Amino acid sequence: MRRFMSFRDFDWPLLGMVVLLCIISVGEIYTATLNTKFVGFHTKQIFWILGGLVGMFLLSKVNYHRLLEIVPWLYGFSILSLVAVKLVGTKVLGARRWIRIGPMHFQPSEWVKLVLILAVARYFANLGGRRLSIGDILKAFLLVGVPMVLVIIQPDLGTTLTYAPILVAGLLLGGISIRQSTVLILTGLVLIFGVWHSGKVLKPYQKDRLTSFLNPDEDPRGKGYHVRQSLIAVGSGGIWGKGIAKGTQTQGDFLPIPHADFIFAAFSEEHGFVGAVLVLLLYFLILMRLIQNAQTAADLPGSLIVMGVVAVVTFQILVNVGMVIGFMPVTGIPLPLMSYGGSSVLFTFLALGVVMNVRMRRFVN
Amino acid sequence: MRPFLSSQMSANTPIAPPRTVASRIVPIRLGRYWLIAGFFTLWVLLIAGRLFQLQILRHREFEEKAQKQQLRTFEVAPRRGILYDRNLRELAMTVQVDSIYADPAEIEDKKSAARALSEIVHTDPDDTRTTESELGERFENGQHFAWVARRVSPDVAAKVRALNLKGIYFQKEFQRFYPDQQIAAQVLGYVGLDDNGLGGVEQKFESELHGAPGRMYAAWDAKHHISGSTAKDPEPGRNLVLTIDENIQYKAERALDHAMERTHAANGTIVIEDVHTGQILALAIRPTFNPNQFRHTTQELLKNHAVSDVYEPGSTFKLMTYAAALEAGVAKPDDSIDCQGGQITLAGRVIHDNQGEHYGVIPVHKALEVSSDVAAVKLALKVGPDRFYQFVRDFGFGTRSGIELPGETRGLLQPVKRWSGSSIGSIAIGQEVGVTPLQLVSMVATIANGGVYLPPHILMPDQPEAGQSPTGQPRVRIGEELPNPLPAGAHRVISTLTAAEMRKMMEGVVLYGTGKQAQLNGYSSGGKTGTAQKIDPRTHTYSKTLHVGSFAGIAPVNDPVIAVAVVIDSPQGQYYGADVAAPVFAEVTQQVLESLGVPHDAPVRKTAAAPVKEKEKHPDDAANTGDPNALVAAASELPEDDPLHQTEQPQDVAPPTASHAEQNAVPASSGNARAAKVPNLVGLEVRKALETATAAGFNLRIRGSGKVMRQKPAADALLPVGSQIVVQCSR
Repeated sequence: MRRFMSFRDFDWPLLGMVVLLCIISVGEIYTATLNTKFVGFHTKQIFWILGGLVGMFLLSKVNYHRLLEIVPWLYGFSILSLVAVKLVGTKVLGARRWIRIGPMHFQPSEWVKLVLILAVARYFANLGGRRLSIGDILKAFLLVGVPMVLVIIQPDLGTTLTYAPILVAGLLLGGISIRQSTVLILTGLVLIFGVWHSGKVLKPYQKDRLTSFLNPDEDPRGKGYHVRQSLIAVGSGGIWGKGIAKGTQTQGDFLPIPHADFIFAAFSEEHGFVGAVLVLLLYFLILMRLIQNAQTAADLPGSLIVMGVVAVVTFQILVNVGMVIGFMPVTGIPLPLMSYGGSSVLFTFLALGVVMNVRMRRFVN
Repeated sequence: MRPFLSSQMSANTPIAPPRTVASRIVPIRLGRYWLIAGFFTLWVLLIAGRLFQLQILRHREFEEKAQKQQLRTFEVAPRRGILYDRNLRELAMTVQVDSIYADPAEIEDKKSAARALSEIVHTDPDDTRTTESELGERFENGQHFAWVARRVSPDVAAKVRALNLKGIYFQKEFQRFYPDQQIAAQVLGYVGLDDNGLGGVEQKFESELHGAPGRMYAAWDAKHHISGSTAKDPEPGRNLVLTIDENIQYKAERALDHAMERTHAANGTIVIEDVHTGQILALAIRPTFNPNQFRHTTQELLKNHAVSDVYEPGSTFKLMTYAAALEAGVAKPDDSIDCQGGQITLAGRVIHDNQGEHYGVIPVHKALEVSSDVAAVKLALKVGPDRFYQFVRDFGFGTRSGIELPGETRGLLQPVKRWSGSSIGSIAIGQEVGVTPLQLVSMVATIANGGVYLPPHILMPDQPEAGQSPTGQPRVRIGEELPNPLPAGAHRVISTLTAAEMRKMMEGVVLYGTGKQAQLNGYSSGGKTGTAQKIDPRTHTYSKTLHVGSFAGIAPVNDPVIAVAVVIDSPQGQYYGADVAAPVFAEVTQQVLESLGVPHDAPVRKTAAAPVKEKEKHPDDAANTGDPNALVAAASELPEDDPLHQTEQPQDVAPPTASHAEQNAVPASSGNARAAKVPNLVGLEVRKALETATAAGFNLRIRGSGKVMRQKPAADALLPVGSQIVVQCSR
């Protein structure tokens, strides 16, 4: 019975790639913050990564079925913490996202992601893969929608959006039919169109932020600044890059938050096309490895959990990199495993811990 | 429908694998797996493609954008070349001063900052750029940079520093400084805010003086902090040596100041030329300006009347007429000429002699002395228009001299074919021509020089003229044409004999004629007065009230050293050249000859009338340890043109010898200099100190401005005459 608990079954290749990416991340945070007030953040990041690794190992020891059992409690606690943030959270830059516990600041919305992954997995696993009724789908929407609403009023649009792929992945794997999904997509489009033009839900500056990436040169000092500087950083990197710590966009403080949201731009500037594509390849391999883990999972809940993780991570990479290269609006979504940030690092490693957990228990029976 | 989130898993088997509904179904079908894999691949390719586009295809574009915003190219101003006088004293130099600028983004309260700053920096009411409203406006409009005040004085900078305002910064900038203030202002010109020469030599030699700016490629980050390095150092401008002698210039300006006080003229000009080299030793113009405060300069003040302004020379031009007549052989000084009672009719125009004096048959030299118009007209007629015109041209009229000053005019002279029937007569007496004071001085210098016209220069030549090796010996190979011994642009106008006759006649003018007030003490002098009515620019007729009085002269007559032209424009009260200009000539020439150590060639009158205290100029040589008499004896045996041909006259100024001249204009200083007591200069104004020191026979080196605070050596020390006293001045 203890055999599947062996760390021999731990996904070492996945961990290897993840650690490699983390090393690249720490190096990039170091060079990107060299001349800024954020200098020294790379050491903080190292501690977060180490903490994340410990958390990952610990979480991999707990049977994911056990986790699924306590998920209702976790879910309830998540909702409470989000409400608490709204009430007693620390305000930073106009948004209440942080809650202070002792010397540490936590961003509950990050680990709510993990809880949602588990909750959605449990929900669809319980449905057993049968055809979904409208009620099932609506319940799933409610399950994910409540925390989404609580996060969007913080306001934190970026994190809110990362919850959506969990639902999408759950629906797709939970057995949604093509007809139902078509209806959903059409409804979604109509809703988005309505929201956009109602002028009530989104404030004009939020709309500007969402569209300015289309034409960053229109307002190079204002709305288009982030995207423009990011594009210049990436583009001026060229094939081989400008060299370590020689990125003028980064060192000259032109590139905003080069250690967090725009770390991929900073990296692309220093290491050029070759470096950027290599990192991209690393992400691709990590994601493919995760999907393989999902496929080889022992049961549907395991598979759903891993695919939930894949969905979140993929979405974040997609949106972050898309933002850096001018495909996507600036939403403040960090790049998993590279961007600086304790909550993000912890979430990613804990999510990987659950994936390991599922993988280690794939030879059940 | 199962209840929401109802647990299907048994809670009592925590470790055992829970019984899941679909425990061994393949969670993701292979088809979906490949679909997802395909999606990821597509996505990676899409991003890679975009990266390819950005980083490889459009790389250059983004690189340029990056550079454009990061690398600002700054011009690094070069240090402007120094302008020296002929004794290598600085007439114009470049110092570093503070300029104040602001980063408006860092200023919290722009209004009060503007008020506080303008209270300090707005020192000059004429300066509109430092008023409170202007500063406020610049702070509001400026993104990250706005000048507060440029090139401020050290105490203003210190006061601003003391304010300790946020966002106010200092930058060193070069400032042109003219240590002698307004001395030779029109010659030097001034330098504007942007370091470009405006007027005078500063303008003429802008390209040489300015130097090449360096370029600093500064990395400039998003917060506009510069972290750059100079890529190309600026090349400092060339230093130029002028032929001006600061001492002589000062004397000329002082004499001109006196003349302006006496005559209340609109403006006055003195030009002093070294007759052997054509070098301008002094060029003084009144009114003047202080180039250190160029804001108060007007275009009119800046105008160099010596080269840019023409006037009808009147009788001074008769020197030209007589020289032409003598050279053409149509008259000799002692020939008789009929002045026809002071009246001659020429092509219907009646020309009268001035001053109501009516002469009959008199010698030619006497006709010049009394400045008979009739005689001059008759002489010119005898020479004939074509030849006469050629003489006028040869003397340098109607053409630019090529002096190294901006805005030189060629003067007004009609070619013969445009002359009317009476033109030759008019020109003979200095009408119908417009000449510059510089042309006038060149003309008399030509006579003084033995008949060779030398183009005037104000820039000291770097090296010996062509045709001479550095040793002064022409290197000529057999069979080659001998090089022209004259400097470029020089030509013989009249013979040495004619020149000598003319000098004699010019001396006569001073001794017996209209130029008596030009007589010197201890020196012979020659010259010619002139008085001309000004042409009213509105009516194009001769003004009844406005005149130009002038004097052109040389001294000493037999071996002239300098030629001097004095032009007093629109004097009030007396206006004859004899009254307004000749005394100025006497004052300045006397002092200059003495300061140059030119030997006396006439008895020295020991009268109080002498402008310079003779006792101080000729100190007893008891203090000398050597035997100067022996040296003097030896020196007097040297040929006349030897630079060491010494006399008993001590010198207080020794200009460098001009190697390419036929003769040395000025004897060089030699070992027999006498000693004199150093005067006490402490507490005196700079100008007064300069006067005192010069009178005592010392050179003065001035540091700073204002009153003399310290001097070195101390007062009463015995020093050889001509030594340098250094004074430290401050306000």
